[in-house]
Amino acid sequence: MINTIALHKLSKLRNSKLLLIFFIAAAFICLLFVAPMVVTAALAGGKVSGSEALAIYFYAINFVGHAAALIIGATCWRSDLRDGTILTFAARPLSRLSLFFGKVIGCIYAVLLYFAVALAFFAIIDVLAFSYIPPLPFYLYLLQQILSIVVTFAVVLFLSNFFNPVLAVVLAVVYFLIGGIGSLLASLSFGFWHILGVSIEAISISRSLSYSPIALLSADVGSLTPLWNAIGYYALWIMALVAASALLFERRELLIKRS
Amino acid sequence: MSIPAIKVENLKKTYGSRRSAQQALKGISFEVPAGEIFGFLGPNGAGKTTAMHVLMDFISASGGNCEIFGIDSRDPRSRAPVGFLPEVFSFDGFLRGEKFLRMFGRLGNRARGQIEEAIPELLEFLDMPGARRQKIKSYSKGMTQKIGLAQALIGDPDLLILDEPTSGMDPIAKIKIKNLLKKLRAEGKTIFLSTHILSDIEDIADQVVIIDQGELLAVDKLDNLLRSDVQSYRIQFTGGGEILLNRLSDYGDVKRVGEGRHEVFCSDAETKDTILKFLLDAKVDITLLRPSGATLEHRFLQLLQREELSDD
Repeated sequence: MINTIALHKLSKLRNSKLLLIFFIAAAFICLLFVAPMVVTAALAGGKVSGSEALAIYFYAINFVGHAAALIIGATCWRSDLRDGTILTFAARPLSRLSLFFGKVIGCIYAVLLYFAVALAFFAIIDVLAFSYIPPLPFYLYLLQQILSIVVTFAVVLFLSNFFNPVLAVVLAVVYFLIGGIGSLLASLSFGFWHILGVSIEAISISRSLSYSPIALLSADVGSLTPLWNAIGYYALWIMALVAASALLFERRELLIKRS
Repeated sequence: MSIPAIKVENLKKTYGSRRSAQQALKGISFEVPAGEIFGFLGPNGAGKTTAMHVLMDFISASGGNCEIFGIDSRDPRSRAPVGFLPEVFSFDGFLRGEKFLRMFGRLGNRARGQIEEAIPELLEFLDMPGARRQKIKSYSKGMTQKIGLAQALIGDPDLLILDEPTSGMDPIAKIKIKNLLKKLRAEGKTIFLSTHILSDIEDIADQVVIIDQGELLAVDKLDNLLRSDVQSYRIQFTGGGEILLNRLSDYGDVKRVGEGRHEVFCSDAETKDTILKFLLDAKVDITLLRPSGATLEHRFLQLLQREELSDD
């Protein structure tokens, strides 16, 4: 039953053209960054390495992925409540948790589909231009990035329990920005600002654990521990935020407000 | 004693915070016997949809409780024998009728084979076989309501909870829906039907409950409700001679309504019985016997203490 709801949610996202917009955005960014690099290098008589292209491409993909996660998370069940379709599901012999997890899993399918398309797109470019075979840690890096995007989704999903979708997105962005500022302040040596920074860091989701694609591809990765740390850290945050959202949804009144 | 399809006990619902509290339901109680068409009546804003939403566990009650076939309505299992149609049914327009019904058949725990058999039957039954391959967004308002009814029926439910089912339908479609509901009752299904359009329910409901401003005004068999409102009787017959007509004129107002057809009005049940005795003795053909003034609308307005509207 959960999977039936999840697949329907994925179809709904697909048909809303939301995923298509993000695919196009990712492709556009890719062409915008990778193509000039290839051309410039070719004009200079050199060649862009596959690892460099991959690193830049995935910066763009991740950026668009986070933007997609914000929108998908904010409307995960809110859009169904707004259009009234949630009642038709809730009238079935399903628990509220099944309904909630169906919607959430459908959104996660959409994130995975986005990454799958992004990878396929890169594979085409790679075969045509670079013939580069990414090293094994790259796949762990992908897992790390997928979880990082799902964390963004989980934060905005949690906030959507209290705020409308637009406000939830804005607050999620503010939350991540404050987290970044917290990291900056924590690095200062001043007493007060340092303590403030550390306090903010304590309640924010750190992105500093993430392994960047450049670090991954250029450094000699002797140990995979940093990647596993980030993966574990993100997985814990996702579980905590999704569980809290599920409990809130279970107690929620499904009131349809029609204009 | 059999378990009622629906049991509502002292149901209360308050919206808003303490300061701006709005009491939508003020402790209503009623039971819906299995196998009947039960009308849930009230003007707009009476609390009908709120009561249905509590029953379906979309919203929580502030007090009291509801049961569906003996199971607390907050338990998801209570919804297994239920088909529900919301007041304004809408669904994702990209789905085709067939796929939509297949999905809800699956969510209703029905076997795949049964779903595949039921889809064409249901669409045929609802007079919309072409809707199978059409996208929902291309449906008319009436068709959308019908596909909503089809999704309520796809799980072969024992209890149908319908919130304004004929909303947006043309008169022919309304008659078809009424006939469908009668047919479903004949199959032993229970139908709990909310409406503010009294003519939708007058000739099909077995029992009705009337609420207004969250309070219960009446729960009774439809016949009993109408009987208590009888003001006069109208009897039509064919045949009979001058002697009979003269005799009847002593008891009521006699009029000629056609070739050999007459009509007599009387004001009380005792006179009606006397007139009927004369007619039976004279071996005339009685074509109509109807309590006059006994309409659900009249009774409804009376209960709502709005006779001034009725006079208009």
